Amino acid sequence: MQSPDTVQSSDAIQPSDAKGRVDGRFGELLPVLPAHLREILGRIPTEVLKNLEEIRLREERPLMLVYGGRDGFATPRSTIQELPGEPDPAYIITREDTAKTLQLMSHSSLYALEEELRNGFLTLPGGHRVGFVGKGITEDGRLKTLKNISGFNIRLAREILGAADQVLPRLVVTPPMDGKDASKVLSTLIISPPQCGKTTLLRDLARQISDGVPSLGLIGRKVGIVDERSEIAGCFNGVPQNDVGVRTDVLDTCPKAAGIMLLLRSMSPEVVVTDEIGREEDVDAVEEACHAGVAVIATAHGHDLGELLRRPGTGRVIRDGHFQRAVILSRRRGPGTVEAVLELNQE
Amino acid sequence: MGSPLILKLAGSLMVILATSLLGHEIATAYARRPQQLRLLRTALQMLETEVAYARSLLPEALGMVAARLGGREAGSEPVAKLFRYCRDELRRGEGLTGGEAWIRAVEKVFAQSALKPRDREILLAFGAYLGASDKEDQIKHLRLAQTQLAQEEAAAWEERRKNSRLYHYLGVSAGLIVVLTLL
Repeated sequence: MQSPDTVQSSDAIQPSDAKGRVDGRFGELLPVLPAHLREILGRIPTEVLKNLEEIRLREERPLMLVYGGRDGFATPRSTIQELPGEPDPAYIITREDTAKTLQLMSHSSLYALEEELRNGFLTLPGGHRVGFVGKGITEDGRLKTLKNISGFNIRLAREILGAADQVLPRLVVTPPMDGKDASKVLSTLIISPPQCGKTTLLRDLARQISDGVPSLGLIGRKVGIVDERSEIAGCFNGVPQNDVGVRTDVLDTCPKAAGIMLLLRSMSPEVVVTDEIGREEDVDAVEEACHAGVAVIATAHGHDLGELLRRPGTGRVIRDGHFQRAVILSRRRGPGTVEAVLELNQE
Repeated sequence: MGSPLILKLAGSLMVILATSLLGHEIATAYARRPQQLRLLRTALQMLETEVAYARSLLPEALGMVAARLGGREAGSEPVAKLFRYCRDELRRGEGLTGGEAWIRAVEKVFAQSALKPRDREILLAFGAYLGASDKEDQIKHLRLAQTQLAQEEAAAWEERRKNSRLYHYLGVSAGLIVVLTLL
């Protein structure tokens, strides 16, 4: 909600006319949008752009932006307002807009996107991720592809270098006997509800562990990322668009369980990083990695440790003592609020 | 008094040579269209391979085709240019779709090519779908365009066979007529 003193006289946030203010990453997003959307979004107010999280395109409905935990509708003059119709009518997304957006996002290569159309998301240059919906075509009860794509959720990549500064010292141990370069990375489970910055944290952990942190006595480790949904490294054509560190190998759009096994066999990682473990086979793969002496840093959806302990897969892996640390995140003081770093007892 | 005769002879030869060359030029122009149609067909076939098997993104696929066509034989340049222009339009990031970029490229190259308006129609009709549908549909449209171009090509070879001889004869005979009238 807007607090009363930030409400402007016209009830809408005015566009910014400063040119060249669009930052690099947002700039990379603009070419995939049809010309007039590009024009509207290119001029959105700085205070909205700064906290922009999502751009929502829904056919025949108003252009919506999600920023700083709330949403607003954009008018053709790039003002942002709380209501779609007042004081000005918001820009209404046309069928041509959605069709053209899909073509531009696919580099006019829709034929190359079979997998993406089945999964309902794709990654853009710059690491921005786009989810989409349309009409599902099923075959033998399985989703084969999507047609008539009519809604897009463009999630802006937010790479925050240093997001892990606060927690990393508590995820490494330096055994007193060894030399100063022998810091060990502990297997860690990041527990967080959606949109609390867990991927941002995970990415920065991967980067720092990979590059090494001299102040913690941490030398750079070989990191393997299994990035099933291209969220961590944001690979475009197999190349990470986010900084994930110099010693990091990324296995893009590969199922977690198979991906972890592949990395263990072929890339000799010292730390494996992956997203959202939950299914039994993911947990099996995590156990396999831990048995191989590889540290695992993974995330799981949830609000606290108790919730995960009650679930079959994650409950087992936590009880078996494969994770030594748990980090709990929330949005209490904005995305990425660290609620707690727990030391999990090992049996 | 031999020199005027030699001058006359030399002049006559030059006239005949010039008109013959003109005839030859027109005759070769007739050969250029079927050549370019054949190359277009080859190019679309390459594009089909890129799209169906290599799954290259359209700009890369177009670039690949252009590179493989470039300097293949005399008269291949306009065809290679068509694919290169289309790729460049897409890369410029102005928000053009594959179809729009293709149309621009066809319009740009048409004047430099030996193609006829009906060849252009085939290319424009095909371009509307370029990159805008799934693999099966892309292959369908690529094949359709190839078949249509093949028909035009067959007709063009036939036309060339007839006209090429005609213009060679016409060139020589025009020269002879001029010489005979002036002598």
